[in-house]
This record gives sequence, structure tokens and C-alpha cells, in this order.
Amino acid sequence: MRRTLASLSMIAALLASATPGRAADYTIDLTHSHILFTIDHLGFAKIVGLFSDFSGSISFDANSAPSSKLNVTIKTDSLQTQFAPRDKDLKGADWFNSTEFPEITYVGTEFVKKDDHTGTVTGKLTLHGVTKPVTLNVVVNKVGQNPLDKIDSAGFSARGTLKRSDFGMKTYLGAIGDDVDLIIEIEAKKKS
Amino acid sequence: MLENPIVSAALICFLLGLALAGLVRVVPSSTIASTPVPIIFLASYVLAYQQVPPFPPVGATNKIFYVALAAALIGFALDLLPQVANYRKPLAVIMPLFIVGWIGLPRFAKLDVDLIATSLGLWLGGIVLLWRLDTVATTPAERNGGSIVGTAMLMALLLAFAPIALLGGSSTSLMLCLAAVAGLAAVAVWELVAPRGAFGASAVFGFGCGLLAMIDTVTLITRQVDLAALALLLLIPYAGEVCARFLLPPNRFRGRVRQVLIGTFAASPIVLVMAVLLLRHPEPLS
Repeated sequence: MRRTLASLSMIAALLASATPGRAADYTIDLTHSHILFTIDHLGFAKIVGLFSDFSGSISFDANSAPSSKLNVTIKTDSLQTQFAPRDKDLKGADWFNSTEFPEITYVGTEFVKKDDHTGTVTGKLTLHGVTKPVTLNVVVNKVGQNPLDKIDSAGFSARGTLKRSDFGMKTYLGAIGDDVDLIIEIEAKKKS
Repeated sequence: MLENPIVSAALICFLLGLALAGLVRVVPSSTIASTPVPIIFLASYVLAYQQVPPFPPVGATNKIFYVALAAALIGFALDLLPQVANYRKPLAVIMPLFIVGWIGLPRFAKLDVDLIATSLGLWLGGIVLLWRLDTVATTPAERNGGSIVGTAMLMALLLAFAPIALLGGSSTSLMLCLAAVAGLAAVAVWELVAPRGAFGASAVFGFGCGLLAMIDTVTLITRQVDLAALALLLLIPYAGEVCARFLLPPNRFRGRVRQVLIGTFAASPIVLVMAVLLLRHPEPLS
């Protein structure tokens, strides 16, 4: 009997390791997540902007990166650059155009694992009414239980670059850089 | 100084204006003679937005270009076919309505009293502007009309709208306005040196509708414009005529001197616009 039970548990363990792990679903925790960008200003400095209102869901499996899913929606009206007249300009029709394009969306389409903690996500970024692929370099910082609220959480850092001209934002090119560097820090809570 | 994108755009437009206004003087066609004015608007747009926008346009700023282009072509057809000249005034009524409708379309899903009032104001203001511009264009110089007065009126409108646009969240419109002013200045210089007297429907509708599309975009889409200052733009089409009646007796000032003075008077409301903006927007911009 003991031998039979031991055999069964061994078979179960083998089956578990052979089948792909089940992806866990997470929602972005806005209070511990940040989406920023930097852009060159006349070669002197990088201007920093951030979006304070965004949401998204992540379906993540550390053992099976390709089966992951990612959907993020950013409210363009939440843009801040620490200077109100510039924010007004950036939210206006010439730049992000928050009236006509109130949301920026990013949908992950390809997830590639490099090692245990790093990988790339390629997705479709829709910005200013234009959809183009953008690849992000992702670091999986930590996956585990948050000691404070006891909720399973996952933390990611992502970096990437896009050209604003690809999305039809060409005003003041030359004076204001074309390359926009993205800095994304995400903490996500596992859905119960 | 040329590293400043606004200065370089203005310089390019000025040189373009000089070249185009010079070239049309070797062509006998009066229809062709009006074309530098709308071309300057389109060139200013391309320099400010650094692109010929995609078609179909994506967003209101792209629409500005195609409104100006379509209106210029319609105006060109009106100049080419005198038998349809009667359509000029009806077009001055219909085109501002079309521009408000097309630019403001994304907002009309949620109508409110403010939006209706603003849209109505933009339409009526657009009619006043185009109607008066067309009247000036078709009135002889000796009766306070003509190409110099029309060009000066457009320059005054651009100079008055530039600071409104800047404070209204569109520094690109400021750039477009200043580049276009420089281009029109070149046309005005040619007109003073070698008068051609051409300010046809392509100039009136091409430039006028482009200007209206830009104003409607900043007002309805960027939504930060100072409406009180914007309303003062309506003084510009009449300022030259009114000042001329009171200050320029016909027997004292004649010819180009009179036209230049009327054009200068047309710019007088700019002072009022600046005063209103400074009083209502004391916050720093730099």
C-alpha cells in the first residue's frame, strides 16, 4: 500500500513538471506602479513626463513566458511634466490630443524569456491614433507573497524606446528629440 | 538664431513668399497670381507640424491641412470660372459650418450647452471673417479694399491669434501663425513694389479656411483657449474700414499709402487682445 501511494505521488509530481505551468492573472497596483518617459530638450536635458492614471492586467507564468498576456491602458489626460503650461500643450491637439485620443493602449503579443529574470515583450502600442509594434526589455524583479497584505504579487521593470515621429507626433522635431525612452515600473496583485 | 525653429520656419516662409510672389508676376493669369497666399499657409503648416499629414487625416491637426488644401482648390476653381462667382458668399456661410462640424466631430457625441454655444460662436465668427475677407478682396483699392488690405488683415488675424494659441495650449499654432505672417509679409512687399492686385477666392478661402480650422482645433480639441480674447479677433476685419472712415479723408490719403494705413489700422485690435491676455493670464510661460 505504502509503495503504491509513493508511486502515485511520484507519478503526480512528474506529470506536474511535464505540463506547462498555469499562468496567474494579475492586475496592476496603481499605487506602486509608474509609467514615465524622457525626451531630449535641445540637447541640454531630458524632460521627464509621467502618467498618473493607467490600468492593466497581466497573465504571467514564469515557466512558460510565451503564454503570458499583457494589456495596459493609459489615460492621456493624466500626463504630468511638473510645468502646467507644458502639460496643457502636451495634452492638446498638437501632441497627445487627449480629447480625440483619451487612451494609449499596449497589448503584448510576443513574450520571450532570456533567463530566469529577464526577457522581452513585444506588443502593439496605440498612441495618437497610430498602432505600431514596440519592444520592451523586461526584468522580473520578484514573484511571491507581499508580506504586508499577504497577496501574491509580481513586480516588473521595463525599459524601451520609441520614435514619436512613428506615431505622427513630429512637431518641433530637432528641438525636441524624436526618441522617447520609456521607464515602466509595475507591481501587480494576483487576482483572487 | 536660426537654431530657433520658429525663426527658421519664418525665414523659410518669407523666402518662399518672395519667390512665389515674384514668380507669379511673370505669369499673366490673375488666377495664378492669388495662389502664393494659400500656398504659404500650407507651407507654414508643413514647417510647423513637420509633415504632410496622412490621408485620411488622423486627428484634428491633420484635418487643418486638408481643409486649407480643399478650400484653396475650391477658391481656385471660383477664380478660374467667373460664371460661378455667385457661390462665393454662400461658401462663406457653408464652409465655416463644415469646418466646425468636421474638427469638432469627436466631441459632438456628448453635447452640452457650452459646446453648442462655442461651436455656434465659431461658425458665426467664421462667417464674419470669410464674408468680410471676401468683401475686401472684391472691393477696389480706392474703396478701402484690395490685395494689400486683405493680406494685412490676414497678417493681423495671425498675429492676434498667435498669443491666444500659445496660452491655449498650442505652441505649434503659434509657430504656424508666425511663419505664415512672414510669408505674407513677403507677398505684401512684392505688392507694394510691383502691384498686381491679386487677392482672389483661392487666397480668401484657402488661407481663411485654414486659419478657421486652426482656430477651431485649438478651441474645440485642445479646449484651453481664452474665448474672450478669441472673440476680439472679430474686430480685425472691420478695424481698418472703420478707422479709414474716421481718420483718412479720401482726398488726403490715396493709393498705396492709404492701403498701408488701412492695413495698419486692421492690426490695432492686437493691442486689445494682448491686454486681455495679460490681464487674464498673469502666470509665467517660460
